Amino acid sequence: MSEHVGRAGRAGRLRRLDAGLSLLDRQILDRDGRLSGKVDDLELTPPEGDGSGPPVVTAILSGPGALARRLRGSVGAWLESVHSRLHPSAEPGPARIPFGVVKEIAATVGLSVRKDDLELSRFEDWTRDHIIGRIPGARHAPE
Amino acid sequence: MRIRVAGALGLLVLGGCVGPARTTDDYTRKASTSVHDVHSAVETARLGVDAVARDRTTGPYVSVLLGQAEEQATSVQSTFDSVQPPNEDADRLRDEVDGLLTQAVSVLGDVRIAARRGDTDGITGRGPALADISKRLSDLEDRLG
Amino acid sequence: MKRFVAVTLGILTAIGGFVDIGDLVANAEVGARFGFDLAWVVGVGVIGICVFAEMAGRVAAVSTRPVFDLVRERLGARAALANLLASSFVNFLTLAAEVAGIALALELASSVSYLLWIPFTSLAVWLVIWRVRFETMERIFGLAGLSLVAFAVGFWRLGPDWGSVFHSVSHPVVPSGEGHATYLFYAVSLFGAAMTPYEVFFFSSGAVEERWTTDDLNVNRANVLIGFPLGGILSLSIMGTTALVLLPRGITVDNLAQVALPTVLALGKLGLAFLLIGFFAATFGAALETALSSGYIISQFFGWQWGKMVRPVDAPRFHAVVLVSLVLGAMLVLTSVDPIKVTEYSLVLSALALPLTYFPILVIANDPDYMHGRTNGRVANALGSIFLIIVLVASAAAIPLMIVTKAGQ
Repeated sequence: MSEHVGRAGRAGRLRRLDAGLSLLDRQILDRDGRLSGKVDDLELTPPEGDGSGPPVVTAILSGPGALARRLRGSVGAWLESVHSRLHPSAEPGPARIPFGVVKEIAATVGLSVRKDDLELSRFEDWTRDHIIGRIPGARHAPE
Repeated sequence: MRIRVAGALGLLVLGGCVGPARTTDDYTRKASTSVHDVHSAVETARLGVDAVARDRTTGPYVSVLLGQAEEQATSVQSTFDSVQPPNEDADRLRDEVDGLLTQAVSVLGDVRIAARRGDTDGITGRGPALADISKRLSDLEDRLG
Repeated sequence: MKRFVAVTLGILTAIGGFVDIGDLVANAEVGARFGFDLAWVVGVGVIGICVFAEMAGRVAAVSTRPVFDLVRERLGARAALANLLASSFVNFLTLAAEVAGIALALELASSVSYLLWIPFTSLAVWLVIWRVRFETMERIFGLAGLSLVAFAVGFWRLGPDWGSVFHSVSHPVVPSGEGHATYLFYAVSLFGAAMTPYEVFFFSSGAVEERWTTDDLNVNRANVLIGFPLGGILSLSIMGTTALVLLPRGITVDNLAQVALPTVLALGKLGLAFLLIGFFAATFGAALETALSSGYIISQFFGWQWGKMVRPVDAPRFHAVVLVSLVLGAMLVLTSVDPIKVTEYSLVLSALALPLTYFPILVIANDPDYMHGRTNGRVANALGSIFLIIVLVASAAAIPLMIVTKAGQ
């Protein structure tokens, strides 16, 4: 998949990247440098106007659900079934990061927001609230 | 893919199974392996007894060592007994081997009991019996080839 | 002076941390059955793990990311997922074997059945992961593992004929009475014991946990290149003791008590005490490493926050994976499946999975985008390629040999 990226960064500069090589499977870091998942898939929208030209990347999709959809075949289907069984909310759609909050694309993909500000981590929050957070010492700083 | 995984797992499990003995040779081989394994357990026990005699060891260690030697021998015997002898010649072999294995298990049991009780004399006193059964097992193993 | 102490500590930790339940079982079994005829495999395995641990450490120090983290972006999601599934499975079996190993060590000390110890040992492993600092954890269990030097002392005290030992080591033959397939099967198992996959995942992620930089590279190279070979000598000592005492009596090794037996006969109660401490430290340390590794590789595949370097609430999925792995591992052991058999299977499967672990390291260590000018030199690449071939051969042979020899019978 080598579509070209339409827009990156708040400055709105157009950068043409080979999205397949530069974006997919990269680590996402939020504003504070925290690990926030991988670029599991990309949301592409047809370009405005006359419809000619390459589709534009409008969002990054992250999460096992998105990954499962991208990996065709039995492995992807298996992953999707595990994910939908474990997912806490009723409708497990992939977490969507609108491309506007992507600050930089380098070895990792940097966001301009904190990961809590986005609907990124429902599974993480659930695990934190229901399991790990309940164990004494979970908030203890690492010495 | 699921079938392939199941197949692979099946092969793994079968790797450890004991099959039936169809020929006398086959049966003799199984007998020989069983004798070898029980001989190994008896020799282990002899070394354990030696360690006790020379005050080289602690109670817990030697009772685990001797207990596991007995478990090993018992398990080998029951596996051997479960194999169907293919013919009447094999029957005779079965009786001989089984007889010897029974004696071995019995001595190992006595030694284990003494060990669990911390009965040092009881342990060392069984040394000669273990040596004797070990010799007979190894003679049989040599004969079976 | 301080630096000298730090370097020495690092080396000692590497030596003590080298041996785990797989090494204890494999080396003891092989010594009792083949004498010194498979000693060369330990040598090959040690060189292999040195080569790849150095690369993995360099990748972590230079790119500040562990190797497995980079597998997905470098080799693609599908390859990485296949790698994850296979590695996780092998890791899990190894974890179960190590957890059982801790309990077996306690059984030898107390004669209380190992099954009764399992709940406590699993809980203890989890508690240490939860609360003890990474470096402290590594140090304590690594140094305590040095207790296993009792094997080397025991071997020496058993008065081996050094001439014939060296001859046997340097002129390996398949002993009469053993088939070639069985010989090769045990070679593969021994190789899997020396080059355990989890070691690389742990080492690589641990380097990031301890925040290695390029300044640390030389020290850590020393730890690996001096520590691991000395650890290999410990492995050979285990093999040596059983070769001298058990082999002549036709004793095959089926349990941990027999592994200790030759050293007990040679050194008595003091030797036994050292061994039991060493068994406990080696298996406990390895249980920590495999449990953490299962958390590392799953989290790194999905891009979740991982590591002991942050508060547990900040890496909840990582800690959940570790917790679940320990619980499942304990449950497997509690089915009273023979833990030695589990160990043996984990070694064969480790050998099978080795290419998945080592191929990515070789690729990434050569990638200038990650390595910022510190890509592999010619020596590293030559050795790495040779070992990749060895590892592929061992992996391809593992399952056929296991079937043909009925897992070494």
